[in-house]
Amino acid sequence: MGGTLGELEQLLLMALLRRGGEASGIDLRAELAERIDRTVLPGAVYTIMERLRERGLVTSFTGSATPERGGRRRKYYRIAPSGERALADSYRQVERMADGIADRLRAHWEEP
Amino acid sequence: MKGGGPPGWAVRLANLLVPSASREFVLGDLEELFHEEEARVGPRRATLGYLGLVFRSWLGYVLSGGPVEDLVLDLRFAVRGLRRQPTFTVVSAATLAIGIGATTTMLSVANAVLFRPPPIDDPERVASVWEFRSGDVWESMEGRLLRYSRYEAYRDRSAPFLTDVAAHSYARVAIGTDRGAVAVNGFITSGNYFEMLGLVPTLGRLYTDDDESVIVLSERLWRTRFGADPDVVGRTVSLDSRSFVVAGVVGSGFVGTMSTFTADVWIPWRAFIRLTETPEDAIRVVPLVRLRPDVPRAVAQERVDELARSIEPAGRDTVRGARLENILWRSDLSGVLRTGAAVLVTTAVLLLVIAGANIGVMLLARSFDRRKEIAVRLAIGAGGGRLVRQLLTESCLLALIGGAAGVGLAYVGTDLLSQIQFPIDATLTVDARPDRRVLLASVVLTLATGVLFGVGPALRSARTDLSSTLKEGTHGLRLGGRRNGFVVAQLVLATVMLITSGLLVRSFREMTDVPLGFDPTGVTVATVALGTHDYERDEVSRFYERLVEEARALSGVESVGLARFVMLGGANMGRRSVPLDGAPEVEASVWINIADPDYFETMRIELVDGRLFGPGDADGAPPVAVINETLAERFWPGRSAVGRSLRAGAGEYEVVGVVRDGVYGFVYDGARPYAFLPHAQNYRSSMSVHVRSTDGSESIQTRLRALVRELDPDVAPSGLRAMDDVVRSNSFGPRFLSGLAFLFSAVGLLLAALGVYGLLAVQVAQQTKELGIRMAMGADPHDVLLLVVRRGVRLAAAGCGVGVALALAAGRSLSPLLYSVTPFDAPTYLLVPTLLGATVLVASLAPAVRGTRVDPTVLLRDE
Repeated sequence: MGGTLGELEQLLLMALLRRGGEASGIDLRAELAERIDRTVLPGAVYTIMERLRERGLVTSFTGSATPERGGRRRKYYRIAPSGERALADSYRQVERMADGIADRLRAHWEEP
Repeated sequence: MKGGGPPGWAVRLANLLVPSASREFVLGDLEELFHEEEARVGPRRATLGYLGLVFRSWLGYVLSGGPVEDLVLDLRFAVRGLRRQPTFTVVSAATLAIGIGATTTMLSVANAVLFRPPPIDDPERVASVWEFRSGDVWESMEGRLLRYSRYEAYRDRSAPFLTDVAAHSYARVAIGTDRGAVAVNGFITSGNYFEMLGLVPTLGRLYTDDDESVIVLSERLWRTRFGADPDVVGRTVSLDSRSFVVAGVVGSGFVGTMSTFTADVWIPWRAFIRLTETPEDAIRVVPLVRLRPDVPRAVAQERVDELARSIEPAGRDTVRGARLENILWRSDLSGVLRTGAAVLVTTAVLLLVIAGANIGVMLLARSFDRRKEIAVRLAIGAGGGRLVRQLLTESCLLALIGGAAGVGLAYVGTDLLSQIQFPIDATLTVDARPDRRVLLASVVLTLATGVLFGVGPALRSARTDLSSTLKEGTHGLRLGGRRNGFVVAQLVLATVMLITSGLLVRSFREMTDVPLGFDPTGVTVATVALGTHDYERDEVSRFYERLVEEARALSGVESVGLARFVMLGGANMGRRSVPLDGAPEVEASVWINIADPDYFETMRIELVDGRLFGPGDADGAPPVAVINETLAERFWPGRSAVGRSLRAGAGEYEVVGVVRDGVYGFVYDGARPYAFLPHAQNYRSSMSVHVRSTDGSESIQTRLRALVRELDPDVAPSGLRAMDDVVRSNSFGPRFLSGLAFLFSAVGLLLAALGVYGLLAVQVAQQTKELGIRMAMGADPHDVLLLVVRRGVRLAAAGCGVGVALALAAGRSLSPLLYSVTPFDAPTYLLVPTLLGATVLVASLAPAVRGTRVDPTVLLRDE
């Protein structure tokens, strides 16, 4: 068990899963922006992902340099089995806490 | 792939600012994002976006993102650095404080004047009703004023499309306070007024429809006249010598619903009518409506128009409809004031930039002094980026110290400004204390200054060439270009500021130089309104007769005249007029004043044709008028106007005389068609008495006040002033504006001169050896002096040249503020470079003299 996950950590792990379990830092940022309209500084993505890597929840590898990046490489992350488990645990906590009040909370989504 | 990515300098900056962890990937991401943005919005905005992300990354790192230990270390480093050179720290912080203080003060004023919304619920949904009524209402406000019963009809029948309808009216009232009776601005309103606006009391409660004989005080009146006494609630006070109970004090600095009058006291209409036994029709009201959120404004407008036509009018009136008018809140002021505030804010920001440039110069000088320390740090492995971040933390800390002091200064400044009693009848007060929005802007400006002017010197330090710096002694290596650049930029801005304020000052002088058409010196005025008192018509006439008679008997008094309106005093009445024996199509809106025969002599208004009013122009005699030259020329060009007739409003008058043109509304308005009617034929219950005397105005004012009290203790004269003051306060706005702009540019010039001084002083210090050798070889001290001074003059010439060009380019935007001065006024453009040159000369003299005192022997011993 790697302890609990912070909110942004959860969101980034979910983004990673949505992209098939493997994605670059800039893809993760784009996923958050497209899906929930949340913009995160590029540096923050790496700070958090590196923290997750140190906890063994994800692994990373680097791609090859490309001209669009001014000759720099991309960094990719891949979700580890323990990372997926940690995300499942966090999500379960959320679901359990929401049990019985979910409809009430959803009612707020209707309002502008 | 298209384009080459963000500009090289931006990437280098990013390289230094983005923390080392994952730098490659972050920079790569930023570059990819840049390409996406570039395709969407073009290269320039993409670069801006790129820089924005870079700075936010850095700020995020400084404030929280990166390892906290780094930040603490950076801060400790910064504090140590600043403490090591206390003079540098104090001088730069003080310089910044001046810049930030000025900017914050001006932003606060602009914020208060232009942006702060009135403290009521949803002000956009409140409007007033303006009826189109027939009768004598062309160009007049009378379509706004309704009988109370008519307002009530609006209120009763408008529920389907309006939330509520309230009403207000203005009356000058005398209120009894701890210190005797004073005349104040009263708002007579419907009972639902406060409820409709959604106001809350500071103290006690606000009246409602059910209340009788209560009043509500403004916070200002409560503080100034009742000593902010919390026990004022429930106290009985006299108002126009009738008893009212104070219900409460209205809060949030609410000053009423009129743009021209700030309210001191609010009175329910019913109570006022009943207690002062005023006839109902004497107090007409303006309906104020609150639109329903579910009814579009256009629909409400249409329904109000229909309603206006459906309510049976009283008397001979016919109503053709009505429109909804936006209420002119205090925040909607004239274009001139807006431009004025914009100029002040711009000047203040320029001042801040000059101050920032000073800091830049000093930081550069410091980076030169510290080059050895930095080279050592680099040599033992400190990363260039880390170093830049440390230096930036230092400049930001410096900026924050200066900024904090500046905000403190701004509080003092706005407090002083708030205390200025704006010399206008409409007791205008500006509550300009900085609010959250202004403070936020100041913090942003402060940090921006720290970053903008810190980044150059920091980057420079990081590029220090290790081997040459460590090897070198105290000679060689000069900091040329960039520092000169900072100083020249300062001089450019100082030039622009000086030209701008120079133009404003010149314009102000022109403005106050126009012929007035009357002689204000020695005249004292006071307005005596009897309308709200229990006076019959002939009692009013007798009152004025006795007042004039007794005033004339005061010692030192030469003459006494009566007029309805005081020249340049702010109130006027316009009437649509046509000549009766001339071309009828030349109609004009003529301002009308009511005067007695002695008024002209008292004001020394010169008669140019015909005669003035005489005892023969009595009630019942043929109606006559005295007109000014402009009106005579308009109606009967090239012919004598005397003996001809004109119609003004509903009345017809024979012109018996023509007087010299003058200024009537504002000093800078120039002459306009104007006519005087005799008081004897035109009864008014409110007149201003004009007293010309050889005694000081103060003593006349005291004696006049006593005189009025003697005639009736319940009557308080208002607007007691020397006529000179009336003229002065008429041009108060422009004078205030030009004075403040001038002050700012003077400070700007001073800071720029400091910059020149600092630059030359450092250069001379760096050149000590060279100068010493020159002296040892027998150079004339004069040559050394000239060498340094010439440098200063070159700087001044460059700064002035660019500054003048910029000012010429920006000149046109100033035109709305200028009065009979072109934005390209030659004297200003000649004077400013001279002034700037002289100042720079003085600033360069001290370093130059120091250069000539270099002692070669001391130098040689040092090596």
